[in-house]
Amino acid sequence: MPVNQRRFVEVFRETCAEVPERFPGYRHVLLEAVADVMTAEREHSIRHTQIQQKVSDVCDRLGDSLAADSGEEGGQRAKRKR
Amino acid sequence: MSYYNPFQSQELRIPEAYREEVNRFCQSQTDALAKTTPDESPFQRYVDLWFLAVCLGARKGKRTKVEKPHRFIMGEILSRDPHRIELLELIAISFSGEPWIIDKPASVIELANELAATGLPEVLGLLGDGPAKPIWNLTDGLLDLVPRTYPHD
Amino acid sequence: MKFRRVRFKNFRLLRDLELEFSTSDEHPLTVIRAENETGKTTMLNALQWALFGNDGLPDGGDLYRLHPIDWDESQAKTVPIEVELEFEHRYEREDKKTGQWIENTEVYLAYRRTTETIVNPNQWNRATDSFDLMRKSDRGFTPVPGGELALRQILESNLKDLFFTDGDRALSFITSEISVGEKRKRVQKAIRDLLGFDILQTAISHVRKAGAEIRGQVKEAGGTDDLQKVAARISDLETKIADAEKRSDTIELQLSQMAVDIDSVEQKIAVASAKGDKEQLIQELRSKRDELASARTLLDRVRRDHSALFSQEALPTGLLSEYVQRAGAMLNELKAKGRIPRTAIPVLQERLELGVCICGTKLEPGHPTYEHIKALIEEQQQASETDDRLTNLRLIANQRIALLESDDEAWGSGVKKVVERRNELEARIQTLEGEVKVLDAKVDELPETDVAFLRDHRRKLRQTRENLIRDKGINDADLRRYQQDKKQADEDWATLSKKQKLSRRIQSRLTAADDMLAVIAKSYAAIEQSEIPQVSDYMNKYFLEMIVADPQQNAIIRKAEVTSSYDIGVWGPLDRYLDPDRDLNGASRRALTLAFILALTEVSGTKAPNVIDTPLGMMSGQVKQSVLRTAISHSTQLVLFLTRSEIRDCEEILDKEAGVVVTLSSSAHYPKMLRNDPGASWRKVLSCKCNHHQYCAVCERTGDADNSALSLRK
Repeated sequence: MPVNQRRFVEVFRETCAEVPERFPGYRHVLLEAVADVMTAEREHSIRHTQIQQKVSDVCDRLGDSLAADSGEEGGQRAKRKR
Repeated sequence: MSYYNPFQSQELRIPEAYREEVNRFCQSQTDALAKTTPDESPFQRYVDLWFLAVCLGARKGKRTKVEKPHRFIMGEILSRDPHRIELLELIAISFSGEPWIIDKPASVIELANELAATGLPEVLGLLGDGPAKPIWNLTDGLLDLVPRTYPHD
Repeated sequence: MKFRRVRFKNFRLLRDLELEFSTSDEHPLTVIRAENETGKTTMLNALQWALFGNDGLPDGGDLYRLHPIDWDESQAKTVPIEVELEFEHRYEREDKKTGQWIENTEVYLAYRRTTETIVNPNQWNRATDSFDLMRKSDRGFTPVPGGELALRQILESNLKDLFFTDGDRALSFITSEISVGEKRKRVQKAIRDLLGFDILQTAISHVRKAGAEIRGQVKEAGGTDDLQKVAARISDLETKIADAEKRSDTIELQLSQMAVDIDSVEQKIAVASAKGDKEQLIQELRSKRDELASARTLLDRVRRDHSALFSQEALPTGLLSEYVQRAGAMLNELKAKGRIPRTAIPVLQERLELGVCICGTKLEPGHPTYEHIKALIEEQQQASETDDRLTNLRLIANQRIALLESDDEAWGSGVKKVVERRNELEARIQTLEGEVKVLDAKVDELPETDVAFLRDHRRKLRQTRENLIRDKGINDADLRRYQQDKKQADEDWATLSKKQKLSRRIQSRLTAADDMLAVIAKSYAAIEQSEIPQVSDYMNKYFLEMIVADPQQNAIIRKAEVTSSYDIGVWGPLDRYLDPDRDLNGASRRALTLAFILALTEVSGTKAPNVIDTPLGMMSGQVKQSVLRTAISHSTQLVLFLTRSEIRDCEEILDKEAGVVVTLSSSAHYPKMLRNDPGASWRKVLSCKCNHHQYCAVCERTGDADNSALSLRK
């Protein structure tokens, strides 16, 4: 995380609250994903990393959890069935 | 217009001794390149200075023989200033007490030249008398001589 | 981060020196007393080298010798150089379970070393330096893997400018030696770096690209042509939007630069106009010179008039008044006696014609009386020309005498008129000459400021600004259109993908990427919007606190600000913009730079030491005190290199605030300034624990023993 971590987290949390809760706990997962991206970016700012790949992976992971938890049958139900 | 001038062929003279100094105070005589201003050389022509010398000589009432004369010009020049011809005649009449002296132009001019010889040192004295430029020295000196005039009125 | 201890070995004059820093929260100040030439700058460089390697040295360090210049080669050709810096690092982390922020403190040792092999006095070879970072644990210091990277993570910023400040050069954010654009870049870099804006921006672009990649998967997932087309359209629009946004930012930056430039030209014009418009002055000068020339011509004419006075009739008339009067009287007498004019001729002529004399005698030719009268007439006719002249002279003399009575005609009146004109003209010429002289001087005074040129420059700048505003208008319109198109394309995408039952996986990934993009972009906007004004407010607060004691500066400075376009500006009364580098004095410029650095570290939450060399130079007593107080109260850890003269008037503050005071002395100062022989065969820096009230065998300078304010420390 970049400097003034606390301030960043505060703002991210506030902004996440404006996103629809696509499944219960989605906003929390989204906030974690954003934090992961920022950690990766922070690391990349110090030394060269496969940053695009890392960011894409985070997005895909978030998307996949959304797919698993929502969908036509409803995410939570689908989860319970498994 | 031609004026009456009985002195056409008379010689106007000054003593040779004053020649150089007189030159200095006449614009027509100073070197054009030196560009003397009227302030330094108050007289436009030689004859102007000569005539003033005549006047001052007359006031002294004394004739001075012109030794070693410098003939600077012919009396013809007086045609340009008829008043000078008249005054020269009046001086001669007054000085000689003989009105018909005007029948003898040579005598009138001889008198004038001798009066000028008396008046010249006076004029030169006035020019150099004072800390200012010659024109001012002369102006101030003459104002003292002319009756009932500025700045003494 | 707080420095705890540092040890230098063979780093130039710092042959063998160890210092401790104050780490107390109550007394964050460490004072290093050092006169000039005592290794202050060397120590600043050595600390930077320890943390940043060669990047921390002047000009990248290639030409910067590390070993002592008077190294004894007979001892060894290769010199080992080391800096060992012990520091503590406090950090916060959020407990995921409780949501609480927990503060941790770790102690590290940064150990950098290298060797230099001396080839000849001017040449040496430096080996690649090696660096170790070690963390303190119960078992002592243990190496941290990836030492250099780990250190950079701890440092939170690679901007050494923010931690290490050379007071004499502490102006890099406001100096006029560099362009407005460059200054703005430095300020922007400092803010963006310390506040993490750069990372947010790169994150946005990476997430955006991730979304594009997901859309690209539509083809692989067997989406229809329509859907692929929409995906391509969205991707294209996103590129266009990013470009337009970038362009908008660039124009915005150029516009604010233009505003500053125009303002600066306006001020130059105002200053120049206050002194006088040069063009107008030259015009005025020309007309005065013309006036002077015509007055001089007039004077020449009056001088000639003056000269002409000597040939005027009035002069001899006045001079010869006695003669004129006497001659006049004689001629009048002749007239009275009938001698002039001769009136007998016409009478005699008439008698001859009548043939009879008045006595009655008959007059006939041949008669003696007739012949007598005839001869008389002839004789009188000859004399009559002279008589006519005498008659004329009589009239002239009488006229002259009459004129003598009239003052108007007197020579003196003519003189009076000429003299008055001369005096008037000469006075006028004198006045004009004075005026010309003054104008000449004024014109000379304005050699650099050509108002016409400045106005032209301003016109061009305004034109450029107009063009930029137009470009921005066009660009922003494009941007809005792209955004609308993108919205439409997104809707198309949603409709089509629903219809075509696009795989839920791709749909969800896209939604996720969009959500992330929205969160980061909105957060960035919010942080940028709130943090820059915060930095600005803190800087203003600190700066005004610092200069409050300077009545001269205090009177002209109302506010300091970091603008949204990253300019550091100062405003005076009536909102007049002041150029920090031109309109502030040296003390205020230092204060402004310090205020900016303190504000930035405050807002960023960075906990780092501020190491400042000569912070109080060029400042007077009261200003020094307020700068010092402000710097102490807003620093996590403050390390100041101070000379004795900087300390003067601040002793009480140091007594109260300093946690550690050390004194550095240079052995090279013995015997001229240093009292006691340090016994060093080579030049080196020595340290002792004396404060500003003390002296000891190591640091005693000539005169210290006689100074009643100092006491000997045993």
